[in-house]
Amino acid sequence: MANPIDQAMSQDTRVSRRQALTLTSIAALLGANAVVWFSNLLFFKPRVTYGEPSRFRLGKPDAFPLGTRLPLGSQRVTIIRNEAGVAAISNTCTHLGCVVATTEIGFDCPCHGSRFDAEGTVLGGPAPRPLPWFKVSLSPNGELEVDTATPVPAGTFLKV
Amino acid sequence: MRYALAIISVLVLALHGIVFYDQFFAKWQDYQDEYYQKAAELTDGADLKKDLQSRKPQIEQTIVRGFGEERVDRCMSCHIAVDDPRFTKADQPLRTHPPVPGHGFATFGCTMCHDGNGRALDQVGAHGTHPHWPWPILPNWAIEANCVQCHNEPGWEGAPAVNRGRRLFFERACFTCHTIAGLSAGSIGPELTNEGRNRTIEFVDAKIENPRAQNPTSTMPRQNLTKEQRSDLVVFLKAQQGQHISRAPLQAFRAAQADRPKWLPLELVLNSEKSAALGTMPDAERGALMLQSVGCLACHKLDAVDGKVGPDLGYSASQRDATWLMTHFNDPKSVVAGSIMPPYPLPEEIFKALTDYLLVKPVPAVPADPKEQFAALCARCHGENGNGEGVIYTFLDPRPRDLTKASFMKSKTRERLVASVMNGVPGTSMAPWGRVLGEQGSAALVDYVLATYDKGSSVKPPANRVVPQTNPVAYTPDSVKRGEEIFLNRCWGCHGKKADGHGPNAVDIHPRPRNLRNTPFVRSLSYARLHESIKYGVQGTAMPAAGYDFALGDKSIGDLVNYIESLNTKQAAAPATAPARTATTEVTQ
Repeated sequence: MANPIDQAMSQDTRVSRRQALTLTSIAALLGANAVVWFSNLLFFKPRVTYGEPSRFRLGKPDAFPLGTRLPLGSQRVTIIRNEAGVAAISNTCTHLGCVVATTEIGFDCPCHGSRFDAEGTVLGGPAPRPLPWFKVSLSPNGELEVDTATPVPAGTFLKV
Repeated sequence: MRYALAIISVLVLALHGIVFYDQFFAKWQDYQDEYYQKAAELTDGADLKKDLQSRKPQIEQTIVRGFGEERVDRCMSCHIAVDDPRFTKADQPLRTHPPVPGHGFATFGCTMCHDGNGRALDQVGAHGTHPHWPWPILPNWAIEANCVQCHNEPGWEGAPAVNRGRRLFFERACFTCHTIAGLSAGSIGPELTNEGRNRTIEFVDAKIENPRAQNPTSTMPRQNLTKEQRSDLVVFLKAQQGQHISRAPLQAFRAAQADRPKWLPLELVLNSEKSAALGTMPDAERGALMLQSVGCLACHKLDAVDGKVGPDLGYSASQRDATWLMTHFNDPKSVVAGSIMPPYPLPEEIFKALTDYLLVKPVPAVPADPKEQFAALCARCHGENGNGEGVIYTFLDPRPRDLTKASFMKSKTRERLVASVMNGVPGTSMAPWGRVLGEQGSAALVDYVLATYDKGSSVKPPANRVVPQTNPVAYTPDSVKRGEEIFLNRCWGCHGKKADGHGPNAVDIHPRPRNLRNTPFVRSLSYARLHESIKYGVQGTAMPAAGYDFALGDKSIGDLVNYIESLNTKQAAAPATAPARTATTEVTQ
C-alpha cells in the first residue's frame, strides 16, 4: 500500500483511455437499445387505420337549421341543432354496440330495447350508461367538425 | 479492439437515431403544425384560436368507396389547406384547391383526378415520381385524361384537349394500325386500349415525338406534330384506361370481341356536319374531303401538304389506274411488298371515292429543266445528293437506289435505266413516270442523273455477257426441288430461308438483299434478267456472281429461277406451268 506508484495512480482522477472507450461503447449501445425499445412501444399504437376517420367535417352550420335531429349512418352520430347550438350524440348503444334509431323524442335500440331520451340519458332497458356526446368544433374553413375520439359532457353545445 | 467497438457502438446509435427520426418526425407533421399556426393567426375569436393551436398533427385520410376499387387518399396530410379558402396565394403544399363544384374531397378523394399514390406520406412516394410507379401525378395540362374516365360521353365539352387529341388520332391515321376498344380496330401496332394505365405521359410523348426512341426497330412513322398537337394526343392516349383483359368478366370480353367493328362508321372519322353532307357531294369532292379526314396526308405528300413518310400522291392520275389504286387500298402489300402502309379499316365506298378523286385531280406542272425535275420528283426519295437518302427513304422497302454508286449505274444500260424511270419498278415504291415526263423527258432525266451523280469514270460497263433468253430447264416439280436445294445451300444467308430478303447477313448489307417473294417485282422481270443477275451478280451490291463464285451452270441457274417462280404463285402445290410474265425489259448484251 505504501507503494508510491500505486498512490500516485489512485490519486490521478483522470479517466484512462481504456476506460473512456469502454464507457463510450456501453453508453452508445445502451442508448441504441433504448431507442429501439421506445420506438417499438410507439409502434404498438397505430397512427392511422382504414376505418372511418374519427375527425370528420359536416359542412357549413347553415346546413343544419334549428330543430335538426339528423342521424349520420356511416359515422354513427346524430347531429342536433337547437337554440343552444350544435352537438353530436353517439348512435352506438352502450349495451352491446347496436346502432340506435333516432326518433323525435329520443333514441331506441332495436336489439334489446334500451331507450334513451333526447339527450341520450337512459330511460329503460339494459343500457348501463347514457349515450356519449362528442366534441363539435369549427374547422379553420368555417365548417363544422366532429371528433368521435373526444367525448364531452352531455349538454355541451357549440355556439354558432 | 476497443477503438473499433467504440466506433461501431456510436455508429449503431446514430443509425437507430436516424431511423427513429425518419419514422416519427415526418414532413407532413411540420406542414400541419405550420398550417394550424397560420390558420390560428387568421382566425378571430380566442376560443377558436386556442382550439387550432392545440391541434396535434395526425394522418388525414379519405377513403373513397364509390368508384370501383377502394382508394385511400392521404394527400391532405400535407395538403391540409385544400378546403380552406384563405390560402389561395400560399405556397404548396399549403394552398387552397380551386373550387370544383360537385366534386367534394370526402367523396372523390384526390388520386381520382390527379393520379399518384394516395397511401404514401412522403412527396416522392405520394406524387409517384420515382420510376416503376405507373401513374405519377398528372401535370395540370393533362388532367383532362382523368376527367373523361367518368365523363365518358364522346365529345364532352369539358375536355377540349381530349377531343382535339381524338380528332388527331383519326386525322393522323393512328386508327389504321392501333386498336382502341370501341374506337378503332387496327392490328399492326400495339393495342392502345389500356395505354393510359400502362404508360406515363412522358413515355407516350417521347414515343410520338420519335417512334424509335424506345424501340429502335419500330416501323411507326414519325409525325410532324407541333408541341401543342402532341400534348393533345398524349392527353387523349393517357385517357385510354379501359379495363385490363384479365380483370374483365368473360361475357364482357366476348361481347367486346363481337362488337369489334370490321370497319369504322363514317361518323367516327368525320365530324357530323361533314358526314351529313357526304351523300350529296360528287365522288371526287367526297374523295378530297376523305383524303384529309382519314389521315392520308399524315404520311403522303399532296401539293403543299407533306407528311414526309409516304410517296407523293400528286401524280397518281398519270401513274396509276383505278384497278391498281383499289387493289392498293384493299391490301397495300399486294402491290408494294415492303409497304408499311396499313390496310385501311374503311368500307369500299370510301376507297372508291378516294380513287376517283386521285384520278381526276389535276397533275401538278412539271418543270422543263432536268435539274429542277430531279429536285421536284426524285429528291424526296433518292435524296438531293442522289445517294438514296431522301427525306422518306427509311420508310421505303426496298430503299431508293443510290444513284452515286457508279459500279451499279454503269452495269446497267441507259435503255434499262430509262425504262425503269418510265415504267417504274413494280412491287416497289418507284412509280412509273413515263406519262409525266414522256420518253424524251425520261431519257433527258437519266442523262442528267448519269452526268451529275455518276463520278466513277474509271468503272467500265460489263461486256460479253452470255445469257439465255428463255429458261433451258422446263418448269417441273423436280426442277423446283433442285432449285430449292441450291437456294438453301448458297443463297439463304442473305436472302433468308423464306427467300424474303431477311437472311442473317442481311442486316449489314446495303442495298438490302431482294425480297424474292415480292410477286409484282419478280413477275415483272424477264427470264434473261434474273439469269444475268444470278450468273454475273449485281455490281454495286452484295450479290456475288454465283455463276462463277459458286460454279453454277446455266441449268442450275434455270432450276433456281424455277424455284423463285414457284414462290410467287398462290397455289400451294407447284403448278404445272410457270406463272405468266408481264416482262417488257430485255437484256441486250
